[in-house]
Amino acid sequence: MIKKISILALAALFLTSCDDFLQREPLSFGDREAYFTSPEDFALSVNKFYEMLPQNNALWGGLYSADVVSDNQAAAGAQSLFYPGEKKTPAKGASEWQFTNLRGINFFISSAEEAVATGHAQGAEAELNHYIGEGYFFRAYDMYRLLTNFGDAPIITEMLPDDQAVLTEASKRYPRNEVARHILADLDKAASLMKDAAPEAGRVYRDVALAFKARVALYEATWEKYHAGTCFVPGNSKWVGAATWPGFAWKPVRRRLKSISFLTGLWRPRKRLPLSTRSTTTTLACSTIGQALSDQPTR
Amino acid sequence: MKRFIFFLFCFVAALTALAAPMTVTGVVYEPSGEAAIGASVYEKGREGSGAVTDIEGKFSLKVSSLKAVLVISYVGMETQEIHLEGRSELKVYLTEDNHALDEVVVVGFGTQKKINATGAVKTIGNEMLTNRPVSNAVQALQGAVPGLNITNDAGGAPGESMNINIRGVGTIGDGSNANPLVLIDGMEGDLSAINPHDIESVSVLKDAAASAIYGSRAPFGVILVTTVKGEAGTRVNYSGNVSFRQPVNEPEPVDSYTMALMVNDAWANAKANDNYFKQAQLNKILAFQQGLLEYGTEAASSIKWKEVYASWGNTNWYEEYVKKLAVSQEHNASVSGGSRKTKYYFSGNYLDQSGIFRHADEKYTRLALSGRVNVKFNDYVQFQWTSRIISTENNKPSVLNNLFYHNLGRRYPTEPLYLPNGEYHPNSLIQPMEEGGRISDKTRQFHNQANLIIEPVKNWQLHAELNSRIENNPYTRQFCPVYFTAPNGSRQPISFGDTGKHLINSTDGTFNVTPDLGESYYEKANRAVNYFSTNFYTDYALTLNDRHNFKILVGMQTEYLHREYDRVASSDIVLPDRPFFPSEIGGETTMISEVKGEWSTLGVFGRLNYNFDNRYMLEVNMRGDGASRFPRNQRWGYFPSVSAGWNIAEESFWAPLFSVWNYFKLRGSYGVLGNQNTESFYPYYENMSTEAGNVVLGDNQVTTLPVYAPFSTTLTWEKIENAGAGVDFAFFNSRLQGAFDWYQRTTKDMLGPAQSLPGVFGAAAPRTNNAELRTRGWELELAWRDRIGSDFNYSVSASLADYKSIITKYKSSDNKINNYYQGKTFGEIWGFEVVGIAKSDREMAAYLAEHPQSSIGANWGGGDIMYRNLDDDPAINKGAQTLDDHGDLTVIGNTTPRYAYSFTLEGQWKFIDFRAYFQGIGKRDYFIGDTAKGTSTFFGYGGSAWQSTLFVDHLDYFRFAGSPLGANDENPYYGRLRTDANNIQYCDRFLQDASYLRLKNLTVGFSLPESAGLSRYVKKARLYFSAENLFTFTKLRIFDPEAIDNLGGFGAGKCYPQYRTYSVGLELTF
Repeated sequence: MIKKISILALAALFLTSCDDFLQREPLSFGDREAYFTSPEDFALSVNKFYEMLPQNNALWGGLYSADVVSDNQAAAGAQSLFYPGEKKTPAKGASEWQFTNLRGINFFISSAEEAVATGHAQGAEAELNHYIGEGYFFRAYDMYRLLTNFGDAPIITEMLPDDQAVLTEASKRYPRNEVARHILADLDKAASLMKDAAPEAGRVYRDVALAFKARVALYEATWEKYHAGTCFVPGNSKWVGAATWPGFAWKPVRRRLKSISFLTGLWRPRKRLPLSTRSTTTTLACSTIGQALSDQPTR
Repeated sequence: MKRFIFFLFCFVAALTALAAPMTVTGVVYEPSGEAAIGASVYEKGREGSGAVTDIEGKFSLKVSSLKAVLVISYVGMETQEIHLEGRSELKVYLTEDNHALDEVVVVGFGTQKKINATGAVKTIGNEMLTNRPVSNAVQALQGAVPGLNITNDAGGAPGESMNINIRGVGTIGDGSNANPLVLIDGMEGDLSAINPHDIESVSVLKDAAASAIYGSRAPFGVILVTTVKGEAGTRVNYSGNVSFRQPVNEPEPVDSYTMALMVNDAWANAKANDNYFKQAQLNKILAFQQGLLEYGTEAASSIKWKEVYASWGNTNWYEEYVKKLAVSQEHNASVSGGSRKTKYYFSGNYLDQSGIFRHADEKYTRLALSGRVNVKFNDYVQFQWTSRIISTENNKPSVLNNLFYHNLGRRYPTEPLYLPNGEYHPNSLIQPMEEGGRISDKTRQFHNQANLIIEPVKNWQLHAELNSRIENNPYTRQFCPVYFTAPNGSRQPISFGDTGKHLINSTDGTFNVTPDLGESYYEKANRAVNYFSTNFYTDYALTLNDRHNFKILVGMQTEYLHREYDRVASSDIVLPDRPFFPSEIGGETTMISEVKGEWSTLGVFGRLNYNFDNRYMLEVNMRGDGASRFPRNQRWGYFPSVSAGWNIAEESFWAPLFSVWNYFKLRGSYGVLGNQNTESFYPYYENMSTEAGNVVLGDNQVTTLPVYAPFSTTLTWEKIENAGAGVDFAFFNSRLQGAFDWYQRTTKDMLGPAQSLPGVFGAAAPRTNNAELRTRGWELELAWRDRIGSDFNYSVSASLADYKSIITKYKSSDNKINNYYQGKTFGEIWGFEVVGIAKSDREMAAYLAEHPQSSIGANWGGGDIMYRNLDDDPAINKGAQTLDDHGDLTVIGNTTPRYAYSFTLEGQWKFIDFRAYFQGIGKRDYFIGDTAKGTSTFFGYGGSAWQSTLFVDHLDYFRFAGSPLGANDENPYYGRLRTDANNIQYCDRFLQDASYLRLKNLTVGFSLPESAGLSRYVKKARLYFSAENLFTFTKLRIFDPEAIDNLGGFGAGKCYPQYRTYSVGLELTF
């Protein structure tokens, strides 16, 4: 009897030690459990996103070469935009339909927030939040890239699994004003989380988020104003997304637009309109901006 | 008393016999009772004066005394030594020599008689490894065993390693490899590091049945190397050789004037520029060639000399850089001996090889010491200890890398060698070679093996083995700043051939660095490997009723490996002559990396052999393997295999044929093995590691932590299914032997791409085990051994092998023809078909009117290529380059090397021996031109004006009458020379035939005859002359067929040159 037990015990010992012998953890890299324990770890993850910001590659004219598609500047070769039939749709790999950055950003935001919530991350809350805020800022930055290139774009807020059904659902393009709203909401969140001053030179901080928010709003509002009635702007019969969003409609909201002049800067009313007309936005100039900021499409 | 008298009588007789030469006569009989005709009879020690038996088997021989020993030998029979003891008439009965069939093959954890082996195993002795002036054993084995493919597409740098595979392509699974397992005395080792003189035999296990016992480490075959044991009787051996190497198949660049005219042509033909080299410049070039101008350059500005096309020198860079001869030497000494209880073997080997580049002073040295001691404590217990130390060093200039080979062909002949001030021109890179810093790559390996064998009862053995390998790889690299003197007298830094870059490779932490101008850089790295494995097994042999033979083997094996790479570099070195790292905190210009990991495996195995009367054989193997590389729930794999054989020649009904056909065995095998050789040690972990970012925040370049790349959570083993059948046969008493094998190997569950996912996933879809590859092939070998008279014996052997691989399952997202897709035959080349070269502008215009070629290029004219239209669309284009839409592209060839063959002719006459060994590939297509940089070596221009390598072979391009280089419009090979890509597309016209036949080795040796009387001092002395790569027969243009791989990404042919070796060597045995 004792013999049987001891044999079994030996066998069990052998098997567990076998398993121990075969369990090898990585020695020179970690996984999300290993990281996300301090504000410095958060900073490491966020640093990657700074590479999204425009770089000035001086070899080929750098940032200034972007102006060749305007009438401010001409380059040596012909610009495909100006010649009919020359501007071709690029292959998917060379286009702006890229979500690599968003994957990393969403992974960071969700891992970081979870680490803070569970207490896995140790450190001053202000520090930790600042970096989470930077994450939100960059998410808005990348979504803005999608907005300017595609108009209606998908809104991705988490790292997606490799499941065909889930991904198909996530590829759905939201109406552009919805996208803009999402960007602005992210920037608001970023501004609330980030510090007043950059922890080190070159990092983003609250004012940067707000300044970017102004830029996004101006862009979207101007676009929708000058493209109203075309297929690019949601809410009219020609809109290309009408099939996907059959119930879409603008829903004007009565709201005092106090902050307009601050945000847009450029637009100023010629003369002060009476309160009643100001709130019921009917003039074209007002209405488009107002719609962009506060409409809630019905779904 | 009687005995004493008899003895006295004999003694006296013997004494008298001693006095005078006697004649001995006799008859020699074969085992069947018939007379042995043509048997050779000679007195031992006097081979030269022998006799041959006549048609009745009778012989008559004069011997020195009746105490002599007669040696009687006959093919297929055992050689007999007969002590005359006073007899002068003999009757000799010969017995059959089945030594050829008593031959033993080395299999996993044991040996088997060749006639009983049921798996596909080939064991060769060390004849392929001796007398070869090669740097390592891998080179010597090329072509030695059919099915063992050793390829070297990278040229012949000293210390270069070669690719080994058994039976062809094993896997395309991303992140796994298909290298065979190399076991040296049962422990994993490196075939290129071991001293070739220490090898006694090499056994190649080709199919699953043979390698199943090794399980998951050996799905693609095993190479078992057995080292030399000691033998009774002390022997001291020395062998050494000196070799001379010369490069073969070097390209020949054109001279500067021809180059200038070709460049003018190329620019003009592409309508990119008219007359790039103006007449004034051409005159200068000619004047320099004729010696009227002293220098080939002048000041371009105050700090630069004219270079590239602005200078007018005339330099043949290949001649300047590549030496005609490089010398190497090798010395090997060993002592072996022993008694009944102890046997020992110690050896030492030293190899010194220099490279073929002038100004480079490359050196590869190897020192190997090994010792093996075998102690028999008593009849039951035996202990064996082996120790091996191998130390190598590869020392060469830091600038001698793939970029260098790329620029070697690209450098313009118009760049002169010297500046007017006597220095080397900065673009020649001679100063960086000589003074720009060196790489020292050392390896130190220390192998230890302890082996205990206990045999408590006869036929039952217990083995316990402990193996350890410790490797260290200290590496240093330095880039020293070098300067030239500018026209205004100032010192200016020389560029090392590319703009500065400093990158860290995240997989192994290596640094990819090209120094900035004037940078003083020093890098130091170490790679340390610690490997430990244990084998415990027992085997028992049992024979029942004299006919049922069983052998059972059961055992367990563990392995553990720990590897780390550490690397530091600094760009702040103050004293380049004696580099050391400056002590500093947070230096700006420092690079650091460390990558480390470990893996372990545990295996349990068993094997059962059964044979009935040596006629019917069955073998069953089973192995269970656990690997640390896979997640817990996928960790274990079970791999069975079975093989069977039938020795037809041993059957009773075969008896009438036996005297002619004495060995005929049919065998077949089937088995499944798993592959755990993933590239990463941790394929199922979220791999997040920091790397340097491209941003500066604060004052520093940031470190970033990117998100991990997605991986499949269902990652598991690749499974390799092996099925095969074979025939072994021997005729005429094993004088003619051969074997034929057919096999099919299917690699299942290879890592292949999952179907492509929508872009919002944000990463490449993780690979899953969903691809399948099938390889089918066959091998044939034949050997004939015979002797003529008593003096001359010879053998002729040949082997031929072929395989073909098809991807049978693959989920390609887009079916791009240049990637893998389902149904693709491995090595496919897609390209256009060519109608011809248009002889005039009108002909071209007419063709273009029907078939516009605007998607390929513009500005077509006479002398350009007309591509054939193969699809419905009249325009010539590539479509989307997918399987469904490939425009006018079609399969034009295949790069798989097919029909690998080898042919050996050996002979020995008295004291002269010779061997000729041919090796070749029967069929291989190759297209040299997969990148702009790569295309230029074949075409001259690679699609870009700055990628040109103009060789004499490129002169055969279309030229109209009146061209300064002469007309060439009759039948040119190339289309017009152009700086764009119009005439250099993948097409059948320029598809190369990379098949070849090489006289790989020719050796002639002279042994000191025994009668020379030195046998007291020297037991054996042999002088030999050997040559490697003596002749190459190939239809490949410009390049050597083994130097065309696109290594380093710069294109075909841009690698170290191949070479031919002549050597003379000496072997002495005391």
